Amino acid sequence: MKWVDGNTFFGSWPHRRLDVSAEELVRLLKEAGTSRALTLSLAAPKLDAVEGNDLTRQACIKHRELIPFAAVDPRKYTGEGPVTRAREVGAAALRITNAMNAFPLDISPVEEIVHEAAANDLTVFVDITDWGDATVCERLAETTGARIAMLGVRYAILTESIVSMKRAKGLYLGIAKLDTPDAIRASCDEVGPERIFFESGAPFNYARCARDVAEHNHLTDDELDWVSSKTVLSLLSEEYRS
Amino acid sequence: MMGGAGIRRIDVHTHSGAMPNIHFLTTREDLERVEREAGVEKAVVSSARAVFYDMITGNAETFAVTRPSPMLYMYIYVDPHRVDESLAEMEKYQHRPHVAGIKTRHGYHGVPADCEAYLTIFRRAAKLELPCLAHAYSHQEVSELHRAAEKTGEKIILAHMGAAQWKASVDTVKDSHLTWLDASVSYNEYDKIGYALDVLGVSRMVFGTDATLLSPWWTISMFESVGLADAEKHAIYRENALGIFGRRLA
Repeated sequence: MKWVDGNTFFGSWPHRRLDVSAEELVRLLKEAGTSRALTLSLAAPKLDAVEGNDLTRQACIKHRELIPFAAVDPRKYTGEGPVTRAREVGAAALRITNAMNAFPLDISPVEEIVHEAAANDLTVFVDITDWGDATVCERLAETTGARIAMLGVRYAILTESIVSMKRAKGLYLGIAKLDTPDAIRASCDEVGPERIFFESGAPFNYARCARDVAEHNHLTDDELDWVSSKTVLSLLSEEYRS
Repeated sequence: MMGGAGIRRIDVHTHSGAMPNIHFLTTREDLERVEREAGVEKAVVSSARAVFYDMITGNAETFAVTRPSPMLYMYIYVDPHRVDESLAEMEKYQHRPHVAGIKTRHGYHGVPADCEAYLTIFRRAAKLELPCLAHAYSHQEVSELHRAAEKTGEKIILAHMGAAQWKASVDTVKDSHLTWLDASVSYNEYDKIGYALDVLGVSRMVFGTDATLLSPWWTISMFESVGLADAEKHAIYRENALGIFGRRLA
């Protein structure tokens, strides 16, 4: 079975002594049995989104296992343009790094970015850090028609994501933090496996934990096929879907 | 089986009953099945009722869950606001079969683990050879438990190994002979297991999962990412727990 990771990073990390180079990321993915991974240079959230997106593209050209996110930073967003440019230079999906940069999702720049992403047929990947985030995503998906992939949903706040996913068809659920014996199974029952996808948060998190939990959540082969790769591939720009 | 074929694991950290969040696998049968699928031979349990709500009825529930099961062993929950009752609970259950140790969660009670109430409880537990599984979700909580172990001689397993503050927690207990780390927690930062093993060595890690709240495979996956030798897996997954609990898990 093919595993495609919906959330990884590479670059430099001054907060901890940790090798987060693209080479190390590729090594960790290989060790974990992951075929491909969406990734973003840490320069995007930590320094400058334009430079980070350039570095992401270069890394993805060098390492064919990696698939490029593009970041658009609400802290620098004043109006239409950045998302369209990201699409033109080949981003597979858009990444909003709200957890790493500590901004909320219910702010007007994020709303505009999501609007622009919908117009460019780009899925927006966001972090779900607390109660309320999924409900904001629901409203954004409903008002813009965008696809929004929710990363890092914890089991403790899972019910909000499930309820919002039932109300907004454009929402998708990542499993990086669904570390219980039953949360992925229950989520498949509630919203269907075609809306649930594998993500790890590597190299900050162990690259394989979420996969091992998914493999022991009593999913059928067909359900696991969606969760492991088909769902996340369906969220990417057309040229990356295979 | 992933994670060391043939190793009969001992899980020092499990729960029964409904938790106060989304959680469907709550019965003894659920716990046994989840643990069996993860290659666990013995699991030590505290009921969610004891941990979150009421010590005495919670302990009774834990006893009722563990008594009929050859796989499950009991933690007696202790409450620092009820020292006399805690000592009585230890006395009530200590001679029962399948009683392994005590469990507590001092941050939940809002008192430091090295306060006089806990020292009284830990001294008695040490005398009765009832090791403690203690919720240790920050560096401060780990530090307090470390001091309490030194003052009382109680063996303490530090559940969650300080959570997000795992690195400072590992450093704090480096020279301890009375504390062990249980890595179960949703924080799966790379490479916390490798760091703990480098600093403390294999003998100071035990296998705890927080099942059925968490999947045992979450913790197994972290250990398997480190590239342990078979002897190291045996120590972490089984032998270290037997060393801590001695006759009570024999």
